[in-house]
Amino acid sequence: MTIMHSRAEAGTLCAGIVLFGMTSLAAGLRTPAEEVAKYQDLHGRAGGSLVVYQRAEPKTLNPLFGFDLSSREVIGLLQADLVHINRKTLEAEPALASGWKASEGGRVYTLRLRRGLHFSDGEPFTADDVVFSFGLYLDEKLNAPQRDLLVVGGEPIRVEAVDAGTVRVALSRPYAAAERLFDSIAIVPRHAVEKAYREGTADRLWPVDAKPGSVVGMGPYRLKAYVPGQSIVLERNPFYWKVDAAGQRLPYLDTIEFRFAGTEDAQLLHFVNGDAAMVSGLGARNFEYLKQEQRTRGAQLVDAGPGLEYNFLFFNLQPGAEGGDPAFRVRQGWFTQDAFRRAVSAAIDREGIVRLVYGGRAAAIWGPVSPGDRRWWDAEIPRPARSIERARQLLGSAGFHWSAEHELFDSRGNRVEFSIVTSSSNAERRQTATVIQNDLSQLGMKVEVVPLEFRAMLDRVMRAHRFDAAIFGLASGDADPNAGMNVWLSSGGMHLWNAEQTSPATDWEAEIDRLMEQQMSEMDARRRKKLFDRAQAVLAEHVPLICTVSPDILAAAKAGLENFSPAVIPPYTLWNAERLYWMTGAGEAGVSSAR
Amino acid sequence: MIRFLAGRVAQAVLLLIVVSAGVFALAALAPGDYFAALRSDPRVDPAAIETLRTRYGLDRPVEVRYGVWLAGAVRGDFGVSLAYNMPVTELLAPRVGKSLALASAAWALGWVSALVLALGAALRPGGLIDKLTSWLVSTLLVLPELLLASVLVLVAARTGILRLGGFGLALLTLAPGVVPVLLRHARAALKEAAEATFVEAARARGIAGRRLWVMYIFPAAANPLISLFGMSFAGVLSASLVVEAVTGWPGIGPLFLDSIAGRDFYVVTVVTLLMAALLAAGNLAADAMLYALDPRLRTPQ
Amino acid sequence: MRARAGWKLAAGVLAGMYAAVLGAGYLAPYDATEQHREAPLRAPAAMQFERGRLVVADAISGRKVAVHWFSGGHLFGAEAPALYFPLGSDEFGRDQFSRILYGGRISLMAALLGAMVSLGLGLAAGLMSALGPVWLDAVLMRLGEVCLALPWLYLLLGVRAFLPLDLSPEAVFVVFVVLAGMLGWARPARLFRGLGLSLKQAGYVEASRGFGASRWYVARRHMLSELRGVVGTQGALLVPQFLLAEVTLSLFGLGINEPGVSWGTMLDVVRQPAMLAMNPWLAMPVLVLVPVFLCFQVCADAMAR
Repeated sequence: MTIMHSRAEAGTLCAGIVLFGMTSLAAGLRTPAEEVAKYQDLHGRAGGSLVVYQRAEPKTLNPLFGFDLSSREVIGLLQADLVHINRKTLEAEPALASGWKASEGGRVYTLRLRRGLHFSDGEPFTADDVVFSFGLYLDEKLNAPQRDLLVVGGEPIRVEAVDAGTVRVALSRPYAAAERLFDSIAIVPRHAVEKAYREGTADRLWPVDAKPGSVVGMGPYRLKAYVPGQSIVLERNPFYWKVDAAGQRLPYLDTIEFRFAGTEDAQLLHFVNGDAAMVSGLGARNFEYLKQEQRTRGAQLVDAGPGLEYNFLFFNLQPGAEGGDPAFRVRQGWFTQDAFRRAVSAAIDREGIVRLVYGGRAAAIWGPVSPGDRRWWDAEIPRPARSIERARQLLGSAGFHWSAEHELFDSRGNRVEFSIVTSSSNAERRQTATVIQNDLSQLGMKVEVVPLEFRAMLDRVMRAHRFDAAIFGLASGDADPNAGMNVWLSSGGMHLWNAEQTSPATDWEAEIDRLMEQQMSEMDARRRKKLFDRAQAVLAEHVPLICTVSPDILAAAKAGLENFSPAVIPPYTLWNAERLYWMTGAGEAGVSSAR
Repeated sequence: MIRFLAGRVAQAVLLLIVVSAGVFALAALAPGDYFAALRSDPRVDPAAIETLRTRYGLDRPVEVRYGVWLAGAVRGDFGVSLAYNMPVTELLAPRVGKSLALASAAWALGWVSALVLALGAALRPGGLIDKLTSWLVSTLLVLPELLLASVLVLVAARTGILRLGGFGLALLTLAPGVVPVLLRHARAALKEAAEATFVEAARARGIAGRRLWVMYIFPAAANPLISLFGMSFAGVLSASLVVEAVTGWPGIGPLFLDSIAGRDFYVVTVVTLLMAALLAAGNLAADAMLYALDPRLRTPQ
Repeated sequence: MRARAGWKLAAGVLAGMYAAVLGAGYLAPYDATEQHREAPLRAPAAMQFERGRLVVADAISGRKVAVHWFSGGHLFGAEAPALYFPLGSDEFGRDQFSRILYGGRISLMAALLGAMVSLGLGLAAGLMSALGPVWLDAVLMRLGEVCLALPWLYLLLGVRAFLPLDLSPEAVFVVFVVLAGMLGWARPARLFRGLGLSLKQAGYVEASRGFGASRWYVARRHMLSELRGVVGTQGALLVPQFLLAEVTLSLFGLGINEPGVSWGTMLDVVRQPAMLAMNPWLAMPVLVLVPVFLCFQVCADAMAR
């Protein structure tokens, strides 16, 4: 059994541009020069196939409207973006754009497109497709969920073609690291999409049962077959624009087959059984099981370290929540006190959660930036050990007192009791709630834990604001503070404890607003980090989010699958699908040596 | 007979309309909608979610939505799946067959074994078959289905005899839940009939053997069994939906559970209607059989 | 004769079971919610006889310590700080044995309650259908079909949304069991109706009607006695179903919540193959459930005779 900790993966995308003369392509097209991307140190072996079991069935192949994890995983292989964030280094890298340049103090970005590339149906890729694609994402009538990402400072970005190989993106205000915005924004072919768009059916485009040839993209794979409820098979895109050191066109694997397991446990069993070549998003217990299991001996079991997901407890500080119910107002009176929240934070046994709930495969956190986010994590944030003693002092100094039976009362004689809601479908979060409930009972607080069905909980917490406290987990889609603006800004819709404020309710929220606005436009990376560190410190001081843990990203693959290197942002395992290959013939057709 | 049937068909149509209205009402009652899941993505603004809701008409009152849907349904348009962005009928068509295949196999297996075993047990009370069936029923009934399912799934994963997601595994998981229920009812019905007063009376008059069974016991036992026969298929089908989800059989089961959790309510509505239709058809068939078998039922009280 | 003895034994076991869960406060060495975070997932351990007394291995240090009897308000236990988990501990270091006892309180009561509600409603509706006017029959039976067909999970989710969050887990759970019981009337009703119809035609019922007995007298006097068998059968089927329904309910956050405990929530582990393979004793509640089911069946069978 081999357990690897984030080993280095072969193949760093070469920054230089390699001109690769193509005389003929499979489709018989003639192109003078194809500006491919070359991995200088990648030497793989072409051929073979990979079977992956997804938890749920993908819902659509439409890049504008696929937002569940399974759909995004498949779409990620069918489509490509202008700039791509390397899931391993977390840096932005050239993709369909071979380079970019910020000007006018960060208001204008000019991107140079690779020349001579083709879509998976053989049609040429041009700046026209880029402008068309952004037109789709930004169309208010279409209202794709990604539209928000492309609205900067209240105004949508403007994208125009300078010439066939250059696009210019204008922003209404300076925006740091704007190139990261382009990650995962698929550039779709105008020739294949425009008709549907004009007819107003762009949202119905490319359902899972679409005809294979009709789904066109710039990704390493293209659709080969779909069996309802069972599988989606992708085949290599012969027009893909990346090559290895020997000039071999990527991807290496001939086909990738997605099958649908339904649950994490079924995914696990399929891997143990040898049906699946890799499995990701494993829970700590299941990972532990793979380590003990005889039949997965020799498999690559990788703990990629804490991911970007942060779990936290937060209280409802929204004014007028619960219809102004007097009993709730009393409780909110406690929640709004810094001392109360600090006491709760001090009483929570984070190490206990890491050990008991996550089997040690998580990191305790005191702020929303996970240590997995190496570029933005701030080592200076205080990480006090759990102390019931300190929690009692904090409560005592805020006027709380205890009865003879160790029950906690506030200064007006109200018993301190409240409820915590959490999602019933997330076992770890439910168990975290059990630990926290027990921790707080040691402070004399009476806490009911109410697991609610996922959507019911989201509706209750985020729309109706009818709750006392909640345990949540959020994963920012990108390792960049700008991806979390909706959470940080007091006006943001994801400012969970008190959302969409017209003006900041507290001084410290005002300060966070100011720091976050500043860092957003700060073009100097060092100064930007300083500003964000300061915002993190303010948040940690006032603990509106009582952060608990960041779980590790755990994944496994069969022996012999080379370049398997799970990352901390999704897609955790297939982010480098074009570079995966089987070392020997053993792994081909998905038959493993483990069996 | 024809009037009876026509009346019942009309009732069944009414039933479907009531059921569809019921689903809409219940769906409106359940908190959260399909787009609620987007709220857990920090990069999506809640305002954008509201716009999406408007776009799909989720912000309209439930009776308006129902009216629109019903008008469409009459013309054969049963709505669009919010998750899959395709017509529900198109989404369901390839899966319904898979579910029906599984449910029919389990149902047939259940009835054949139940009838054979129950008859064997009733013919010779206290005999080997009687003891065997009683033991079988007790064992299968006390085994928690979920436990049985997970043990079977584990065995499948370990031995590779049964393929995960295969038909064999799904049938083997579904059957133990179906057989004992039918067997138990069949046994009870035959026993009840065999011990009924009028059978005693027949016995006292010297009627015995095959004649007693055919003329007295079977007709008496037939009534509850036919009722059960009619409603059991829909029961098996709904049990099969859960089993499909556990064993990974690609029928409507996994999709249906996903759709309930995901509030993809046009899918939920159509699957529910399908089940209601099967149920109504089963009951209709049972009543028609009772009507045909039992002349007394034809005279109104 | 043997059947009679079996019935008595089963009833005795059930009575003992109910007494045990009611006396959980004394019988269980720990409180069901007491966490021992330094001793999670310990395997079951038997008492051993050593130098003339019973000793157990401390769950933390493994050191042998004496068993204390009748002290500290509990029947038995290891002296603190030593810990003794006769049936092992769960991931929070909670004593499985104590949890089974406390969990039985809610499981045994709730299952019986749910089954009774379902059966009672089903019986009433079924008989009304069989004996009442034709229109009532049609209305009830179609209503039953609607009930069988609708996705009630939505209703349950909706009800949860309207219940206050600070309601105790037990109260919430009872609400759901009663609701589930009320929704489950249709299936038994259909059977009772079928039986009622056939019995109605049987000679002796006709005869008593002929003597001028009222419909309800007929129902009470003759049918209920004849129906006993089916009631028993249905009861034996429904109780286990309601015991297990809770596992499904908890999947959707409608089961019993922490810190409440029940056999159903404890059995959630059977859905996690890895957890079960690594810590098989977590499925221990099955060893209690199966005999309980068996006893219910034996009793129901006896009732049917």
